[in-house]
Formats: sequence, C-alpha cells, structure tokens
Amino acid sequence: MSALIFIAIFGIIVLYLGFANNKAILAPAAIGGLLITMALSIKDWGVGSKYFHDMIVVDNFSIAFNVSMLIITILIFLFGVNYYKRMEHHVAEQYALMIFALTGAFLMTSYSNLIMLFLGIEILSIPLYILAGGKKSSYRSNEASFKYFLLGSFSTAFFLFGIALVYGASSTFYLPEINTYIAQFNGHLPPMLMVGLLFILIGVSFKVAVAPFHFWSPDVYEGAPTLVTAFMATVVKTAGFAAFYRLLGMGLLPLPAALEKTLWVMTGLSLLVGNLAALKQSNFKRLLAYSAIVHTGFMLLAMLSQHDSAGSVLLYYTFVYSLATIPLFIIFIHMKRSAKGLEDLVIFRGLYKQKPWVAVFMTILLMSLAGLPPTSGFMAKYQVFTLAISQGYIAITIFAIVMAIIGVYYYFYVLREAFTDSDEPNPILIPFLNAALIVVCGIAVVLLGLFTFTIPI
Amino acid sequence: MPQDYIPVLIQILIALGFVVTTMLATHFLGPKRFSRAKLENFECGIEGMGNARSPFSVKYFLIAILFVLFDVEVIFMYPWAVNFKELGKAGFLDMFLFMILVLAGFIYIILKGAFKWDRR
Repeated sequence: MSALIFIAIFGIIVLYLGFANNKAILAPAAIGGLLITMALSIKDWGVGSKYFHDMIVVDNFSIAFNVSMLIITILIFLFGVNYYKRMEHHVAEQYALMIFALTGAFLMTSYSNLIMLFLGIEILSIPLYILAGGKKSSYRSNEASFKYFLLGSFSTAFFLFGIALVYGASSTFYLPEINTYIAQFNGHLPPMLMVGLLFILIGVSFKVAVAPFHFWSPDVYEGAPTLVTAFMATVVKTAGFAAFYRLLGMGLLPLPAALEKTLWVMTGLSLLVGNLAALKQSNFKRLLAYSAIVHTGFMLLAMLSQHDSAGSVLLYYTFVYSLATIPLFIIFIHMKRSAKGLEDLVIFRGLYKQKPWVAVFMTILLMSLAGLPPTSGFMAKYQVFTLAISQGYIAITIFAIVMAIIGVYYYFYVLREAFTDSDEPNPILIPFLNAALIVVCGIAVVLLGLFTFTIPI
Repeated sequence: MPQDYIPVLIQILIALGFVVTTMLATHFLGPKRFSRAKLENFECGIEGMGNARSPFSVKYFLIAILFVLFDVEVIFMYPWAVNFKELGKAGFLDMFLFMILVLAGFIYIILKGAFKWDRR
C-alpha cells in the first residue's frame, strides 16, 4: 500500500521536476523513484493486507505483478534516455504520465471491488490516451490518440454498464460476494447477471486486445510513439492480464458454462485472427501488434485452464514476453532512424552486415517470441500448454500449438530481412545505453529459459 | 414499486404542460408585427456586426476547460461544508489532502504558462 501511495505522489514530483529545465536528471530521478517503489512493494511480501473496507487487497499475487511491471518500466525509462534526447518540450510529462499509468496498473493488480477495478482501468487509460498522441505534429499519432480515446471510452461505458447490471442483480461490488452470489444459481444465471458479467468481460477484453475487440490495437500501436507502443505492449498488457486473472480467480470461477464457451471462442479467435493478419503485415509495429494479439490468446489459454498455478504461469509469460518485446522496439527505432522514418520490414535489410551482434540478439528475441527452445518464450508456451493439457483441454491446445508453429513464419520473415544485404546501406548508430539494454534483455531471455522460475502466488 | 414514481410523472406532465401552454398562448394571443430590426439576432441591445463563425484563439478553449475542471472541484466543497461538524477532524484532513492535490495541479498549470495570454 505504501508503494501505491508513494508512486502516486512521485508522479507529481516528476511532473514538477520538469520545471528544473534539466532533461538529464529526469530519467535517473524517475528510475530512482521506481526502485524505491519496488523496495516498498517487496517489503509487504507475504503480509497480505487489506485497505479501504477491503476494496484493495495487497497480496503476493499483486506484489509479484507490481514488481514485474516496475522492472519493465525501468527498462523502458532507460530506453527513454536516448529516445527523448531530441525532444525539446514536455519531457517530464512523458515520464510523469507513464508513472501515473503505473499507479493505475497497481490498482488493477490489487483490487477486490469492481469500483477499484474501474478506477484502475481509467487511471491507466487516461495517461495512455495522451501519451499515444505524444507526437503533436504527426497525423498518425493524433489518429492513434483519438481512436484509442473514442474506442476506449466506448469500452469503458460497456464495462460500467456491466458493473451496474451486476450490482443490480447481486447488490454488491465485492468480487468474493459476487462469487458466492453466482454459486447459488448452480449455473443457471438470471439474464441480468449474465449480461452484466458479459459486459464486464467485454470491457476487460478490450484493454488486453482479445480478438473480437482487438481492432484498435494495430492502428494505435502503429501511430503512437515507439516508446509508448513498447509501454502499451508490455506494462499495460501485464496489468490487463493481472486484472483479468483476478476478476476470474476471485469473482467468476468456476465460470458459468455460457461465459466459459464465450471465452474459449475468444481465445481461438485471438490465435487465428492475430496469426492470419500478422502474415500479411509489412509494417513492423503492426506486425508486433498482431503478434501481441496472438500472445493474448496463449495467455487466455493459461487463464482459462482454471488451475491454481495459472497465476504464476501468467506472470512468467507476461514478464518474458515484455523482456523480448522492449529490445525489439529499441532495434526497430534505430533502424527506423537510419532509414529516415520508414517503418516497413525492409528497413532491417543490411543489419547483419553492419552490426552482426545486433542481428544475433534479434534472432534470440524473435525466437523467444516465436517460442523456440532454448529461449524463455519456449518455456512460457510449454508451461501454458502443459497446464491446459493437465486440465483436459486437448483440442484447443493442439490448435494453439499449430498456431504457434504458423507464428514462426512471420517472425522469421523479419529475420530474413535482417540477414539480407541492403542495396543502399545507411549507417546504423546504436548508443551505448541502448546497446547494453539489447544485450542484457537478450541474455536475460535465454537465462530465464534455462532457469525458469515459479513464484507461489 | 412502479406507483412510487407517480410524483415524477406528474412533475414531468406539469413541466411539459407549462411549456406547451405558454408557447400556444403567446402564439395565439400576441400581435404579429415583423420588421427588419425585430428579426435580427438579439445581442444585448447592441447592433450585430460581422459573422459569428470567425476563428478565435484556441487559448479560450484551454481557459474554458480549466474553468470547468476547477469549478467541478469546488462543488466537492459544498457537501463537506454542510457536514463540517459531523465529519470532524478526519473530514478536515481528507479535504486538506484533496485541496493540496488540486493546488498542485493549479500551480502546475500556472508554472506551465497556461494563463500567459500573449506567449507564443
């Protein structure tokens, strides 16, 4: 809890640091604050306390996810040191908004009341709407911000309506009480409750971009500044899945049959639609957006297995996925700069010729996303599949494995470009800090695959 | 119970009835004289000039948004002021915290120069 309070105040402090007119202190100060937050979070490990009439429950699950998101945000801030070097104005605001978004993410991992979930989602989303429009003079960025805002507020309306209907049926906002209320019907839910739960699921699915509600994500990923895209693909996705898992684990499990069928269809659709669309992409950011939709499908598979260790598998999966995604965005931004703003896959041509070590790390990272051994992406998918098979979901697991194999094609398509010679090679400059980030993340991706961790949450 | 809403229904009927009655009454009772001056838009008694749809500074919009923001925040003070004695010390501290946060935002926009009208 002290971590939540500290990070909320710290966001305001960073906002005011912008008046010091010294861009160099921003990133170190922001990272220092996040480290303090991490220490405060870890201090509560194993205590398990409740606040505000049990509306916030800080348990090991939320602390594990918070620390994972803090590590990822620190990596993104390190990326920001070079990324914001050219930016003249409002740099402190970028960091402050990301910290505010992180505050919302903290609420999303530690709620036990639907109102707190709503607040968390809003506190996470509103800074993101602004961040997506970070490049004021770019039409693409404005389009991304506007699309995200319109569709996001639409989904929020669905979500709120769902909360209202569930409250109307069960007269409570607390997830454990909703759980006991649902249990008394033995699977035959009254229509009002059913529609309410469906609307709540739609709202949360939108935030994590599950297939029928994924249409915003490629456009927003493409238009938003690359650093913000990296933030959305990693931290926001982790927070969304933590919230989703909590919603199912504390409130809805065992799922009513109709809802479970809906979620299984959404899982299958995410895997299928994400893969088929990714095959056709020529823009790297759109490709990663569709690949994120496919990964959403795998994570849903783990969550719907309804097993006690699903939380730990989910944490491992999101963490490893984030670790592989951030350096890919770093490599992409340097290739984009050397290609004078182009975002197509062709810009990776000539990478192996000029910077062979970057191409090698890129191979490792893309292998991790595709799920090939010995990387941690393989271990994450392996855990998801064993979990699903152990619960008897054979057919959907086979489907998911086939989809994972199809995914290899478009990841390796990017690799093929990287190992092709370019006709007109442009110099690729990678500053020391970003190079270090690529190396560290690449090594971490391999090491986490060799030494997998499970945290009792 | 549905019958509990009958007062609301009566209220709606009275409101609608008043509007319809007065509009019909003025329509049928009043004399009808049309002149150029009478058909013009009413602008505080001053003669209208120019087109109203000319572009104006986007800074008006910023000021308007900030006004709405702080206006809404002041509304939170009314219920607190009414229940000041019942809420006691805890309520005072809560409101103090709230005001600090509002002030932090206010100082931020002043330092950011949102009210400097002629700065480019």
